[in-house]
Amino acid sequence: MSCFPELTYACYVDGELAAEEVRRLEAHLALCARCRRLVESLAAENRLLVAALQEVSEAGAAGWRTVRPLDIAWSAAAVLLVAAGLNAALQWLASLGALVGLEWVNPFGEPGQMSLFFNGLFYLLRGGETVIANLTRIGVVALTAALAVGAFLLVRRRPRAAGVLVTLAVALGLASPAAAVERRKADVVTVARSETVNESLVASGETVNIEGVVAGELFAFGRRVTIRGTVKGDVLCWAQTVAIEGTVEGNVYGFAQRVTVSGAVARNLYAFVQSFQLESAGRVVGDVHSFSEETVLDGTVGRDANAFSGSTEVRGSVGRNFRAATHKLAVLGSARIAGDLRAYVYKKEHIHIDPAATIGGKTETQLRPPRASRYAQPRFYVRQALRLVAAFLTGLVLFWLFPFLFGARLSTAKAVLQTVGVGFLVLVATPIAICLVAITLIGLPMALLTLAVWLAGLYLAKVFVAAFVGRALLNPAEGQTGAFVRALLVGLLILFVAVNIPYVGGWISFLVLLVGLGLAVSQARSRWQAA
Amino acid sequence: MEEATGKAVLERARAGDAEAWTTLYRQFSRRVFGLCRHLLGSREAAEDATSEVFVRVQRAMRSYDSQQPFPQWLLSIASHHCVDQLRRRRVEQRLFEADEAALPELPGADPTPLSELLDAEQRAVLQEAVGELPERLRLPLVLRYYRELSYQQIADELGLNRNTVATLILRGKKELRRRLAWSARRPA
Repeated sequence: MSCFPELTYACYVDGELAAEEVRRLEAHLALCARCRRLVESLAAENRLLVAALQEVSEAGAAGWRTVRPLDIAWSAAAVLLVAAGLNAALQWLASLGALVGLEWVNPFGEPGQMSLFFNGLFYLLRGGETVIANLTRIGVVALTAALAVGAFLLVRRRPRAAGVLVTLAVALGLASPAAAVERRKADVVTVARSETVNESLVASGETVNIEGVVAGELFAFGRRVTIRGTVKGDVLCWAQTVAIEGTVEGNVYGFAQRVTVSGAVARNLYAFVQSFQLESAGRVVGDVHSFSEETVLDGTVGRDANAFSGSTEVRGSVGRNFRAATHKLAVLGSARIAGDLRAYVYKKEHIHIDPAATIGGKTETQLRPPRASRYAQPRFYVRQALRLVAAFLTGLVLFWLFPFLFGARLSTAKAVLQTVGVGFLVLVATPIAICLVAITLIGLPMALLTLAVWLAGLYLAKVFVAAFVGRALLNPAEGQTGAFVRALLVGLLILFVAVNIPYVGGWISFLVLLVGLGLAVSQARSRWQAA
Repeated sequence: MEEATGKAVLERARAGDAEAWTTLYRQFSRRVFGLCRHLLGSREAAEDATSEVFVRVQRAMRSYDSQQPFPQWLLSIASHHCVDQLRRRRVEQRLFEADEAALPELPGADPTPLSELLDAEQRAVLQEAVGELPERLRLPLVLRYYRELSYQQIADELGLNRNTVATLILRGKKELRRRLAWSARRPA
């Protein structure tokens, strides 16, 4: 006898079959193990449904009046209103000029954010790195074990796959930081005057002092990084202040609040800093590219110098062309520029070129049109609209592929805080973990993959939050795609308005990032557990 | 019905005693809320509906036949109320298509029944998923597994025939399995 359709078994399990049918079906069940299993799992499914549905009346009543969508709507409206008021007040203050001198204490201003950013980073580097390093170690051990077990299980059925796993496990087990890198971590990391590090050096600490010689590359992370000795390779610094008093034979990449060069750099220098200073004794043989709030060129630049900065001052010499896109430019009498000088500024009176300065080529100044408020430009709205459409389409595709990612409901304050915390952890810990894993050679592909996922997450965070906000507001009664589409659209509209509020928008978008990452990770995690 | 509440409370409630109504509300509002929550698919709507149901019950108390168990009677009023509300919500659209059972099933793999034991978090996911089912699938499912009505009773309540109810319930389950996509493999 052939098997019955699933509907018949479902009716049977629900006790809805006529006695005659029950007899025929049970006769079949006696013979067919597959159908017996189906019936068992259908019955289990029913018990599950009953349990899950009945639970709401208990749990639901306990947390009956938690967060109502209307509350969220009111809170959102209040935040927007406060933000708008704050913005108006700040703009009025700015128009009085009161804020100009105090810009550095304003946490919303660039200098203030720089300080905040670097301080936060150091806190994490000091305390966080150990934790993450330990976790990575545990992860590597766990992964090795898992691969070994997998290989063991596969040995019989798929010897070739097992071989691959064994190789991977062995490689992972043996993996240590790439051989040519030395790592040093301490409060004060010092390479003494008499010392030579024969390989590349990764140094992290409160203070990093290079008095001796580093034969390879130098990667330095610290509050203060000082190079008085010699680095034969490139230097990559991530620090609050970087002082190069000795010699760097490669390129310098400085991400810092302040970089000063009074020694020599044999190749190019790239500074992404708040303040960059090439002192009178300093010399960069190649190009200088400075992206900074303040650039002072007092020493010698062998080739081109490019400054994208708030204020730029040239007192020393530039071997070829000098270009500056800047707010204020001063070329003093002592300056010698062998090639052309090109300056892009907003106002003519902001350029001061001393007649005594030597300029070998042409002097060309271009006035940049005053920057109109971006809100006054139609381009801004077109761009926002395009981004909104892109985010919307991405959201739909994502919903279609992974609907479970959108199932989140935050019902209590604790859940909100938890989500923000998870988001923060993901945001900050992931790049650090990526760096650590990337140092072990074998971990590089994993690091790149994680990086890609992380970057995607940064973009998608707003989509998750938008869907969540939209659903909280519209509270769609049915789970049809139409309802989701409406909710996503409404959520995105609100979000795009909120993150574009001047001053506060940045913070809102940061919060959105945290919540979005948190939501996605928690959903993925609960889904993972369910599976 | 819980004997403890007893006929006395019901009698007093019928006579309009406020205290008796408070007792009834305290005792049954959770179950009414749970049913409304599943049928209407949203907490907000369920909260409103729960109060409305009790108002309705108060008015209908005179017609209550004390032979019938009170909770069942109460829940039937609640589900009538919710189905009414859903119908009103979409006047132009029928809640159920003319011949539901004849509609083709969604294409795609046929996932296995959800049969694993779940922890609280996963049950919450399942509840969410039920809440997100389209109404035509959610209603029969909730009436069957929350109110534990028979196919025939559900059919009467929703104005469908019994076979359609059977089909819709299974289809609802399949939709849940698809959405939750638990990866248990069908026995080979």
